[in-house]
Amino acid sequence: MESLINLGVFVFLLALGYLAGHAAEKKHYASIIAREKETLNLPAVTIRHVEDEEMVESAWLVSGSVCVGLDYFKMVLANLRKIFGGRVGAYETLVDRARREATLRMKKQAAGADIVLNTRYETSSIGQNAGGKNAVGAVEVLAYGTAVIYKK
Amino acid sequence: MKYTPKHFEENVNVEKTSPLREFFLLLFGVIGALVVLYMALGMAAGFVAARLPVSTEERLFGFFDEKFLISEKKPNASQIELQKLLDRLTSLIPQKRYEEYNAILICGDEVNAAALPGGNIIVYEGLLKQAESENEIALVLAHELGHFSNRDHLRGLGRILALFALSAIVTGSSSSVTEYLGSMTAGAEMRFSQKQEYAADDYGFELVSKLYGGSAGTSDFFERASSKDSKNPLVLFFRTHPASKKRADRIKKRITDEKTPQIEKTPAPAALKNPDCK
Amino acid sequence: MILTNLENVPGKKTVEHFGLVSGSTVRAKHIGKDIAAGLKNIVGGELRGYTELLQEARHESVGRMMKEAERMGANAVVNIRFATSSVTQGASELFIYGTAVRVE
Repeated sequence: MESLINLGVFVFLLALGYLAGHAAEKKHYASIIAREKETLNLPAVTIRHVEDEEMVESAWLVSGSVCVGLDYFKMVLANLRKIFGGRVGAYETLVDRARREATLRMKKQAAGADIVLNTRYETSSIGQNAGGKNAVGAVEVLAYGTAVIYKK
Repeated sequence: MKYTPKHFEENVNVEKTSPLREFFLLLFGVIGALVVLYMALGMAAGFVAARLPVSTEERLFGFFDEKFLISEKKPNASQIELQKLLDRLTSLIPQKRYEEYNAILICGDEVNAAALPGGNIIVYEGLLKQAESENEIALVLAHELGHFSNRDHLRGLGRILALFALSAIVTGSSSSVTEYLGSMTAGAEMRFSQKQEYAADDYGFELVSKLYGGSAGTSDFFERASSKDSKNPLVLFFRTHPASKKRADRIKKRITDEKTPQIEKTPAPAALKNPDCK
Repeated sequence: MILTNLENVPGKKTVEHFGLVSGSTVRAKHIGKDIAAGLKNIVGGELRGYTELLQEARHESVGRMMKEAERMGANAVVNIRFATSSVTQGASELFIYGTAVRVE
């Protein structure tokens, strides 16, 4: 009987994780795409090179970070996938969302700038043995760069 | 250097597969792989079991005797009568596999009996209460002796051990999955295949006919069981001895076909009719 | 498609850029390789299974980044950076990013 309850809880969490996680992801992607279009005219590049040093009016460090968590369904899905190997789709959307969100937050700090130079990313998994049995499955991304305004 | 802004809705960094579809595919994959592995392990266990020397069997499963069964064995009249009946049966076995066979009376209303490693047969109180004649009890004991003779009891146990080992590897030994599987399958696993049951029935029928000089009462047990278990298919599935109706018919057919001498059923001794389980 | 981790493509002039492009993937090896790697870890040395995993992941993320750059109309990606992280035990995440440019 106890094991049946455990099974029930598991299935419930799985369904809840799927429904809530799916809805949250959809909403997040819609917001990311909308904001990306808004900030499209502010490019972030990995180049350090400034065409002409004389042209720069001001420069400052900008950064943006975000921590995105995994839902229960994706955690189970990823664990299943790890048995067979191959592409872990459940985590791909997670890191993709985190990267784009961090970039957007960095660009928000760079509002008014013409370009963000030398953009770098740092990824880390939060929590001891992240992704392990009792750990929070989450990924943290930090994006940073130098915002530059050119003289007009 | 000119900047040309470009934006694409389509994302190259994410695979466009439905997570639900992936989940079920993987789940079925895991279940399928486990079933295959389990069957392979079960077959290997069966192979080893059939060739396991008795001395090794006693060493491996000695804990059944020492920890579990001896404490259950109480020196009362019912227990002694049951052992006597078993001894009468075993004295007719031409090639004994074990030096001694033990019959152990277990308290409980379950109508069941089982063959355990090391030559031990457990019989539930409920089975004795139901029995109308000694012949009937003798058939149950002889049936279990048939399982010993064919080594079925080790095949079943081998599969249970294989299942536990597998579950422990995949999910961890103390996980609830292991417990769940254990409680669900231990009962189902003690169930032998239809072929094994028929073989044990035949063995029991012959042994009892030899003991009493006739086959009276040999089909009684299954006939009574079949009138009870035919209703609920789930009960039928999880019973350790399935499809009683078919088995009763098989034995009845043998009785008529072989024209064994008509004998009177031997009444069960009082100690067995009203088992003392204290 | 020219890939470099320099500021530009040597000997060529950068005429146009399209901003950041990135490719990422998360991959895992099947459980057998995980077990083998765990055993190999006792004696140390190269864990071939995981080396392979990283190579596959790198190959795939580079491919994705190139695909992204291609559809933007770029013919080179400059100042490329690799970043790896272990999002979860037994799985490898490989992220590669750079600036998509058109060179002449």
